[in-house]
Amino acid sequence: MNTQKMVRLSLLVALGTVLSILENQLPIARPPWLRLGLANIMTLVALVMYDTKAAVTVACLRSLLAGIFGSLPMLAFSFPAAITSSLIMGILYRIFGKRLSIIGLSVSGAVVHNMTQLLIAFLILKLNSYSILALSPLLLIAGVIAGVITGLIARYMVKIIPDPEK
Amino acid sequence: MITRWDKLLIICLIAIALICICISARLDKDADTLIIKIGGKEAIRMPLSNDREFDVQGPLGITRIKIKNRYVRVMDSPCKRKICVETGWIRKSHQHIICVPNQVFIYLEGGRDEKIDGITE
Repeated sequence: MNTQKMVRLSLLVALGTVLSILENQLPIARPPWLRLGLANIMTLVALVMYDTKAAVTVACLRSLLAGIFGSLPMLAFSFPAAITSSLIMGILYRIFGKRLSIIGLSVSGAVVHNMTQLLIAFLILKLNSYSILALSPLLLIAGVIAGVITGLIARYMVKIIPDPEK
Repeated sequence: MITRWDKLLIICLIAIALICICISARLDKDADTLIIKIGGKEAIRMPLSNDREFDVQGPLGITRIKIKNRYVRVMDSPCKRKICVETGWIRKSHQHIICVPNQVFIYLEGGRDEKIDGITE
């Protein structure tokens, strides 16, 4: 790992942490599980600029830090979701390459993130299977909308950041 | 820009969401039992038929719960963000109010199927 990559990844982690904490503080009336997932932008940038490993690292560190500085109990939800969503985005990026744009990657990441959290809620809070069925369409659609928005921002960000030195 | 695969992905996800909505709408019914779990263990199970207001003790303090006209809500809670209070009234058999800080989980179960009045054998 060269110095530039290290610095860039740490900046992405720092930005992601700040974004997720700030996003929780926004004075908008909404249920706590409904959020844009702005921090996912940083994971996407790491994935497109470097590779899956970088993306998973950024996502994990970012959610750990946001958990420590934000709300620690939420880590049980956000950490596994960060791992699964970044892994799925990495796998899809490897399979589809340029056929799936950064927006498609972002949407799949957001949806996987939401679904993982729902699954954890199912396991921890012992929700009945009916609530899963009732909640999943909401989370799916929320994931698609949030994914498109964060994907657009990520695309702009990738465009303005100069390519990494190899 | 958005590729063909992106569109396909988004359309598939929305289709799945719509299917889930259709299935869940069919299972929709009013609840008749209130179940309260505290710290994961079932503490209270009672029918929704009697209107009443009562307190339960969680790790942080007392959560006040009210039943009225088969609706349930949390009136007051010692937690910081008051998400459980803001959830408001619930009535359907799949709904729940969850207070993570005070470990109080309120579920509604059972239900009258509005289409069938009774079954004889």
